[in-house]
Amino acid sequence: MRIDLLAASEVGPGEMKMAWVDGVEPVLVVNVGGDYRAYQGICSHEYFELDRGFLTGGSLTCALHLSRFDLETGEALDPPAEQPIARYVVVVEDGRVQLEADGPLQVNE
Amino acid sequence: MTVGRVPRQAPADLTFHLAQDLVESRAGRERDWLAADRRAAFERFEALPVEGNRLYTTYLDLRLAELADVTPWPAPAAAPATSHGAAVPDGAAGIAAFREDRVAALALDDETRAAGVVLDTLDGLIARDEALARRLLADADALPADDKLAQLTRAGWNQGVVLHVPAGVKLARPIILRWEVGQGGRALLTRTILDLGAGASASVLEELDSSSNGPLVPGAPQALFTGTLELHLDPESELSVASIQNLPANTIAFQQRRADIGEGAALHWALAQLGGRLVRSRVDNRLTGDRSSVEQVEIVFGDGTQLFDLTSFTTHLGRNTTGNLLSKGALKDAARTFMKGLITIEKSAVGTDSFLGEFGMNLSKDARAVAIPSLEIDQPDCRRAAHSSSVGPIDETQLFYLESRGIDPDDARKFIVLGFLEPVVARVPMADAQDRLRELLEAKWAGPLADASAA
Amino acid sequence: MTTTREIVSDRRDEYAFHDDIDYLAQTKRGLTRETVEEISRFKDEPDWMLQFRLRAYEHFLKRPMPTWGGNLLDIDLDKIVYYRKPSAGEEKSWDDVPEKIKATFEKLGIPEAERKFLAGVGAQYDSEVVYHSVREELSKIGVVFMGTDQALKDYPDLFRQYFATVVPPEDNKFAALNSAVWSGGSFVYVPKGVEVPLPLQAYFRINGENTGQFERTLIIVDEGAKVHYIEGCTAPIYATDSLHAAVVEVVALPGSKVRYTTIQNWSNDVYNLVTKRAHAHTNSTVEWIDANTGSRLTMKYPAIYLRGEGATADIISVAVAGKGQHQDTGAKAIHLAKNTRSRIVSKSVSKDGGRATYRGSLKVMPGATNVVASVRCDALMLDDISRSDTYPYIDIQEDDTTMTHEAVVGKISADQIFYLMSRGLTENEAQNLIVQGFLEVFTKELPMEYAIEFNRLVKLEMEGSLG
Repeated sequence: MRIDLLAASEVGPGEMKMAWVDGVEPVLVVNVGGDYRAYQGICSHEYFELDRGFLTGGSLTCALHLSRFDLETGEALDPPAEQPIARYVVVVEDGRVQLEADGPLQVNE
Repeated sequence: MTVGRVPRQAPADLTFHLAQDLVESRAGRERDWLAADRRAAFERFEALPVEGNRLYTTYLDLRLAELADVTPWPAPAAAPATSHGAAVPDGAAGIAAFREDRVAALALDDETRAAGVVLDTLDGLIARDEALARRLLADADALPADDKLAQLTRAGWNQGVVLHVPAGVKLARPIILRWEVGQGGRALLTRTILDLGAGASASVLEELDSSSNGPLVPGAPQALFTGTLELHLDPESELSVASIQNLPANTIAFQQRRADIGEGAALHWALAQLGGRLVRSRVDNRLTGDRSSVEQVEIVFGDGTQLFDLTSFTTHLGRNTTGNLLSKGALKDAARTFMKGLITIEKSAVGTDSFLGEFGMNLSKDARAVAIPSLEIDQPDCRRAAHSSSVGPIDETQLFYLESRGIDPDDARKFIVLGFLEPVVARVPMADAQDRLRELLEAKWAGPLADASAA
Repeated sequence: MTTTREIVSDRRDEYAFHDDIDYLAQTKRGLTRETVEEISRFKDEPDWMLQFRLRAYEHFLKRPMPTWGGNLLDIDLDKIVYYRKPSAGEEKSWDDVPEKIKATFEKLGIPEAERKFLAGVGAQYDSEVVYHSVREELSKIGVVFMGTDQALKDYPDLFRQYFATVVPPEDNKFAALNSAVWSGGSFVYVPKGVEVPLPLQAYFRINGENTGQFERTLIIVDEGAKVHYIEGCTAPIYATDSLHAAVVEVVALPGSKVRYTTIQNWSNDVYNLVTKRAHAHTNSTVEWIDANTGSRLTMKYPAIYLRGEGATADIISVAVAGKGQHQDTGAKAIHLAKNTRSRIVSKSVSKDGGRATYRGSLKVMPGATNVVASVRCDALMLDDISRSDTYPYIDIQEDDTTMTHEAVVGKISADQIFYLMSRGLTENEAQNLIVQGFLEVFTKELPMEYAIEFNRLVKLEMEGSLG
């Protein structure tokens, strides 16, 4: 099943943006040097939107307590987070970034 | 659908399991006092968290240690009949060498033995001088009671060595203590105790190496080595301890070093941390006696994904004590080090002179150095209470200087890094050990070790 | 403070407030969901703010009390009144103000009308007059400076865009508490390119409690603008409540420069727990100049997140811990972007059993290349019943960072005292001179009249006359 998130042009290289599935479920879209990726939108440590954080090298830092996650694997690199953030499969078609999901989205907390 | 990983072990999870059965099986064969000591330690081990100090809970990461399938050695083989004299290497006064849990060598030269110096396995000591063994092993303060990993060793150790130097005896040559470990799937839990009588002096070289002769097979299962250095320095004694840690890349090491330094006594540490996959070391220097002093120089040279988690507690209790601690870490690739140092000056410690320096050199983008040099002062009447730390890349000025002397840039970098780490090399007591350490550092600089891709 | 003002005859009517906020007298003791709803209702707030407060309240309940830092065991959260009507109209009597507070005003040379204002008593019209003339000057250049409550009404979009973006309620328990029950505090907006010519001072702003316990300050400095904001004063704040949990958020947009100076001298029974943080964007400069001399326990770690390239952070903090006091303070510089710079200087003095703790964090995150950072935290202990602790956290994750850190703890050298005494100073005067020298890196950053008062305050502390 494909879920439309946002237009690819909305997220330039080195940027990120939050998309809301059905208006309620946050999915973070990150453009890593042209490669579009999607992750759970909320930090695995404490409820906090990851788009308010910072892209730091090949990682994402949550603004709340500076937990840091690897953008390849989603693994928690710096505490206080211990659980990784889930990474989702995305495709870019006709300039739209779309989620490939066949069930509820996994979210680690 | 999702690419997210299944939750793995948390940074504070110790995957190694010390079974009560194991502790009981050891305790059952021992003297009552020792059995009781083990059992008490086991209870503490079970109850304590890995990191009890709130200052440091954020900087704890045991995820590189996958020890669920690692089991301790069963009861150690008996020591071979000691053949003294001839077995002692040139330049040394004695040697105690272990290959995994077996004793490979245990010898003192004649002069040293005649002076009353004792070098024995712990089992050997218990058999020959139970009172001394009890004082040293079951001393309440021998290992920090608030440290889970220390209590792990105290409860489960099955091999150990003791060096006892009687009062007034001064050893001219060093004693070598060598542990060769790293067999996959095995844990070797050990204790090392050094006891110096009043006015005695000695120097010890500890070598931690691989037990296998060839390079490590990539993906080899992990091994665990826990080792202690429990030092008792009676008044006016002097001890130098150099340690070269070059464990294989599949080995996890938990080290506890604790020193009780008596009046007018002096302790010198020179510690080199090179090997292992994850090393967690804790040093407790207690300057109990007036005019006691400790000088500690430690170097770390990390590569690959090694993690060196080092904590140092220096407690000034007596009057006019001196502490001088220097920690230097050079990190390549994605190596990491946590340098945590706490100087505590208690109210009684008037006239303290204490300095702690922590210096990190990040040699690549993915390296990470954390330094937490802390001070807790209850007594301001001190000669000096200071710390200094810096983290940075190779010093550009030094580089320029060397290059302008016609030295190739790569060589210049190497000289600077090796120069940075030299303070410990210079303090290694034996010439050929010094050479060996320099070779190890050079090899590490040159490139990934053949066996670095384990686990 | 000691700035001279004309005594203006009664022209109150010309400056009558348009106060469309109907304040409840006060909420019942203790904090429940209803308390939060009441506060929001009586401030007539938009629904998003009510929801924000409730979400913060839920988080506050979930969070345990911190077990590190100072001793928070004696705070009884159920006894506190979380909201009370501002003092305008409250009839407090000058007689009720404690003697030693009155004596301090005397010694600090504070004019009578100001004293009454600071003590929360008496007519405030003198201050109102000053406030209005300042406000006029500012509005001519487009600067907004008003109470946070009023700003929510007058500038709803701007407010909502930045509010809680720097300190979210989930940050820590007391930020959550503040987010649930906040009232009062300053809102400042400086438009692009504007350099505000005079320091903005908190006490100029009136419309709600100045020294409210849960004040919330939000300062937004637009591109290329410049402002200096001063909070607090050297006179001891006589607080009716013992918990002060404030939040200060500063947004320094590209190219801007913000300096925020705080001199706080809470009375000795107050718990002062503050979350202060700034986001410094590209090429901006943020400076926290922070002095902590009062309170029973202060836990405050001014922080700057260097988010934009070329940003600079400067944190100069002093703490004086006297008898029965614990100053647990520090600084945080988080480098998230390239070419950023930070400097942290912390000086603490502890005496008579006081305890000074420095807790700092310097982080260089991956991607933040070419960072230069320095930390200097020195502590002076004046006797052996005082205590000093230093816990600096340094976490560097880039290979080209240059950072240095030094800390020295000690006591005043007997030689120095002897020398000064041989020049005719008393021992007390000598000690005071040395302490002032020790703190000079801080005092030289203050506007003159504050520096004079601050030095006087330190002198009084040294003499032990502030008790």
